[in-house]
Amino acid sequence: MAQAIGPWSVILRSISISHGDGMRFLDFRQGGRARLGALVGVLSLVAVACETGDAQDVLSPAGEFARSPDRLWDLTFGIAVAVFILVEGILVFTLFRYRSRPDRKASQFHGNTKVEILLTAIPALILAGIAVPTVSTIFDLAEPREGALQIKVIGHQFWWEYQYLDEGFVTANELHIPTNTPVELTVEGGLIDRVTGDAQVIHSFWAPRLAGKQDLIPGHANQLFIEADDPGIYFGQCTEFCGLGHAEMRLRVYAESGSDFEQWVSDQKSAPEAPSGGSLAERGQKLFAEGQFREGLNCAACHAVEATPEDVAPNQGPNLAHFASRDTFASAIFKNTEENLKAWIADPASVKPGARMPALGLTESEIDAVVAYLKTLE
Amino acid sequence: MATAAYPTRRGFFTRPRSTTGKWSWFFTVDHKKIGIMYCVTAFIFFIVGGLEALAIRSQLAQPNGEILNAEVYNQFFTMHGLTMIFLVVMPMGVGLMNYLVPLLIGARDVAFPRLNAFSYWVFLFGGIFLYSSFFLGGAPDGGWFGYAPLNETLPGHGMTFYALGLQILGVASLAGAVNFIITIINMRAPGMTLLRMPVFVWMTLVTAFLLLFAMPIIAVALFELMFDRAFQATFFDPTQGGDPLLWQHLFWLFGHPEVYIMILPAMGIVSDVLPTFSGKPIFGYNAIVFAGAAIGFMGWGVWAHHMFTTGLGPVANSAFALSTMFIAVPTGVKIFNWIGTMWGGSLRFTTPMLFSIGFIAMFIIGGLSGVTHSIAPHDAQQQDTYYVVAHFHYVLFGGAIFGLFSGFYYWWPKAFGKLLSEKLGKVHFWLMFLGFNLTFGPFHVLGLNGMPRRIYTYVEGMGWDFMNLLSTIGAFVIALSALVFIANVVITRRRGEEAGADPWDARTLEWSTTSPPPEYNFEEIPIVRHRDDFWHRKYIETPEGEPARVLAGGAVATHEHEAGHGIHMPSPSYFPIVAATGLPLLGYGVIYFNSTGKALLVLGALVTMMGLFGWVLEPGAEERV
Amino acid sequence: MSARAADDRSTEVVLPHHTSGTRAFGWWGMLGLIATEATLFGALISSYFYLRFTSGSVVWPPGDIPKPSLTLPLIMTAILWSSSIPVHLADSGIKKGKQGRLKVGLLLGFILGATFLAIQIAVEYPETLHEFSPSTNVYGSLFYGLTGLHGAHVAVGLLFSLWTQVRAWRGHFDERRHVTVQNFAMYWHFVDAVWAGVLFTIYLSPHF
Repeated sequence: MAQAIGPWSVILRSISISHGDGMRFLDFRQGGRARLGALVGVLSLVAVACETGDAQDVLSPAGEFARSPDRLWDLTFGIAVAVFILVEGILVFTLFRYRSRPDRKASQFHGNTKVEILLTAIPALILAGIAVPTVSTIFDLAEPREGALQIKVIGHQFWWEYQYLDEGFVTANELHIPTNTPVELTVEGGLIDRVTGDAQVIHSFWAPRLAGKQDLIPGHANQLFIEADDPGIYFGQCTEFCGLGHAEMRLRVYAESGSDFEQWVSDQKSAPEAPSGGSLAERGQKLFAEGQFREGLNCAACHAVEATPEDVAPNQGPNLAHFASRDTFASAIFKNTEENLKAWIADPASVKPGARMPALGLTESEIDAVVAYLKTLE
Repeated sequence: MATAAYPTRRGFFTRPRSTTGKWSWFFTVDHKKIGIMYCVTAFIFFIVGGLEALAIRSQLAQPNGEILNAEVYNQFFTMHGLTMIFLVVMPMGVGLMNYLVPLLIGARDVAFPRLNAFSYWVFLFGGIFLYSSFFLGGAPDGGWFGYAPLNETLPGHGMTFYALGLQILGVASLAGAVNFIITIINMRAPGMTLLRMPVFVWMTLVTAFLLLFAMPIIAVALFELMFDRAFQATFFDPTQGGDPLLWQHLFWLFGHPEVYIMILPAMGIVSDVLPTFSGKPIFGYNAIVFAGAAIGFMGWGVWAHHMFTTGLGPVANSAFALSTMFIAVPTGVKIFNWIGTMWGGSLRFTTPMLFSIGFIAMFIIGGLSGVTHSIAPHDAQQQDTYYVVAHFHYVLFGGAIFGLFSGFYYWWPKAFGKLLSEKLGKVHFWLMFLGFNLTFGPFHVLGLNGMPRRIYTYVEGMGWDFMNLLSTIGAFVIALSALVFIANVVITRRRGEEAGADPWDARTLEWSTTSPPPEYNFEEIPIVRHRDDFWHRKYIETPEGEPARVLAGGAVATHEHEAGHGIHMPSPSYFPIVAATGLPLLGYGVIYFNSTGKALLVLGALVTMMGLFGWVLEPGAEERV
Repeated sequence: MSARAADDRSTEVVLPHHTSGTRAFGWWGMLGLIATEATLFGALISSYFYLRFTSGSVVWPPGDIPKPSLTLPLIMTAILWSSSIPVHLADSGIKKGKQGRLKVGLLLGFILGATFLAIQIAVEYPETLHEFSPSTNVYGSLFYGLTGLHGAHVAVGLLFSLWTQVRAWRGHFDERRHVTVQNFAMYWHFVDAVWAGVLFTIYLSPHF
């Protein structure tokens, strides 16, 4: 129906929208195309096969690991539509042709062995035809890929942690990958959730345009390959129900061309600049690291601002290194604006149900200072 | 049967005598009354589960909805699933089985009438127990398949109610399963060979066997969950060597047969309704029975297709992809045979027929989307999205619920002696058919457009707004159709058309007795000579191979002056309801495991024991006056 | 057999569910119960091996828990399994109308079963609880889960036996009507048979 919208336009749009006052949710608006696609979808199931180009459109694969399942889908869906039209057509024909009329006599037959065998054999053959490419795709997707970038993904209630194993740094929620390179995600449910002290629960990592989902199960490490052909932002979210914040456990994958990605990596590894003396940001840094708020806690009790090494402590909350360079926060649900940050820090659970970050009871001026500090973490 | 007075074994208790009036319902062991109670109770739960669905759909009608918060939403979608599965579709099927199986096989009751009553009361109390959680700190909120370890870490008593409530409901299902198996094996009328049984009876038999082996598996899962939650055991706790995936294996090893437990009774209904209104015998009886049994067997080998994204590895994924594809074959056989049944017939589009046709049309869609799940690599895209939600609603609503409504309209005149209004019935059908497709059709699009299930909110701009709105409108159309059904029932009660024994010119034995049937079902136990025996009593085949009506053939024998005299029926009993009362008390005892809780445990155990001892010690029967 | 039994029969309602033999409803009912119970134990035993082999622990039992000793379990096994003999004799006895064999057999079976349960509760559990509890780790959960479930079945069997004995003393059974005895015997043999699975899983398998 439509070719996929250029990923960069997705970025532009997602950044440009806001509505109402207070917390500004991110917006993924794509114009009227989706609505049109939706309308067509009602008219005919076949339209489902069409790409809508929406942010999480399964049918607009943007890389090899989404494309090969999609090919399988196209085959199976095509067959399903054909069978649907044929069988429902025969059903409707039967209803018209044999409706009761004064002169109609029901013929009294009990069955027809030949027809029955034929009608058993045909579906079995069709299914065998689907089975072959299915099995080969399953094995193909499980093949190890040479030279894949290794990233470990850990799910928390309710945010994502990414550990770049080769590069040795950590980030959260916004995953950056190079284009045209297979990326091997080790999706792992940790054992004890560092935040809650409970056993971790199952999450599922899903960025539909890059690959199918893979569950993060405590005590198990699973492999998931993703790859993006073109630069852009690819959206996704947790797809295994994980509690109160499940709906707002979103994620983003930023695909960048080789040199952009290299640049980003080296930025991540660099230490942040200290805020200039006497500034609001410097006060914020003090509050962040040394403040005594509720139960003697401060931000640094949970959040590190150093990205390296991977076992950087403390690590209860998302690593905030280079936080200011991120577009979003709180698991990719809020735009990274001062206004949003202030509302978030004041009372996280009131703007994101289930959020584990406590409201530490900072005063408005303290919040202003902390936000000013966060904004210096370029 | 001899008419001599039955001597009575002197027991510790006398048995209740009255078989009419309000109180008789509490102590009845009559399979027909129990069947009606099952269906009425399940229908009330259908309304409740439907209201939960309306709240869910209202919340999702627009992005950033503000009707339910995450906490309530999670409880609602969990309870909606649990209700529709365990308190609606299963018991409605069981209700129809209860009412019909003895009538269909020419028997006077089920094998264990008191056990049957016990099943009903346990089901009712289990349902009330589960719902009481709303008033005791919050309902289950971990989804109907309540994955570990979330089911253990969720605060409050919700998931403990889940573990114990389902356990209690499982007791009801198991008792029912044993009862139906033995009834069907042992109590068929003379000449009712297995291959002369109506398809509904066959599907009941397969369903009962599935229950017999599926319920203990979830019982083990729930047992482990209860110990983890209530007594700090570590079955699913990975930090102590447990494994969350064990829950998934056990749950789906139960859960997939469970799907067939829900759909097979509806398939049985359709297989009996279609021949009646097509005026011809079912096409390929053997194939349809065999396909039902094959589905029952193959249903055990597909469970891991719910787990394609859990990292079982390519070998397991391939094996389960293949088994999932090939379970479509026997399902396809059934669909072809239903169409074959109508082919060449003379179709009367009555309301039950419309619902059966609706079942076929919708089940085709659900079946085909099921096949698209079997391609494991793409299932990783569909899993836990609205596409899957669309699939199982097409199978369980478009399938099971449509089939059950077909059964209600079809057998209503038998049970109550009056025909439901055809006019309102057709309004009901078309509204429901339209509303159903409007609600669940868009789910396909939403799922493929990336909308996950179980999210209480979404932002605008995802391309989901319009489809969600459409779906919500559809949900209210379904609600309207349910109101039409209720109106139909009320109006029919006031001034419905008298049905007579055989209003549909039907084919099976239940139509050979009066409507409603007497307590003893049949004046004389019928002797069966054909499949569709009742039809063959009414029609003979002319030399040209056409059916011709036999004069007075199939007339209902009523000897008013001595009707039922001397037919011995089991007496009502106080004890099934007493024994059932103890189970929820035990449940509360485990949940509140303090001094009150322990007292409740003792009380519950005592009540159940008293019920059981009263049960075995009460006299075998009270002499009928 | 005796005139007394014949009298009893005359005051008994002759209904199908009081007959016995392989076509009796009660027999089918017990078969159904056993089928579903066997699945229950099967699922729990499967859980045991599933968890053992996915726990990643090389040593089993994990942690500091010693391998189960065999002496006590084998004594318990001998006691439990030997209880099937008198129960069988009681069952086959009443089929020939032998009331004495019925009563003595049931009583002996009851005593042996009760001894088994008493050892489990009063000797075995205090010893093991010293070392580990259900919440120690998954092995503890499995150990108490499986043996506890079996113990509960023995307890139900004992109640069933008690009731059967009361009826036996009241003279409710004879060579034609003894479905309760038959059902009790079937249940008891099942509880004994399933012990083989428990014995192998819990006590023997950790040694391999």
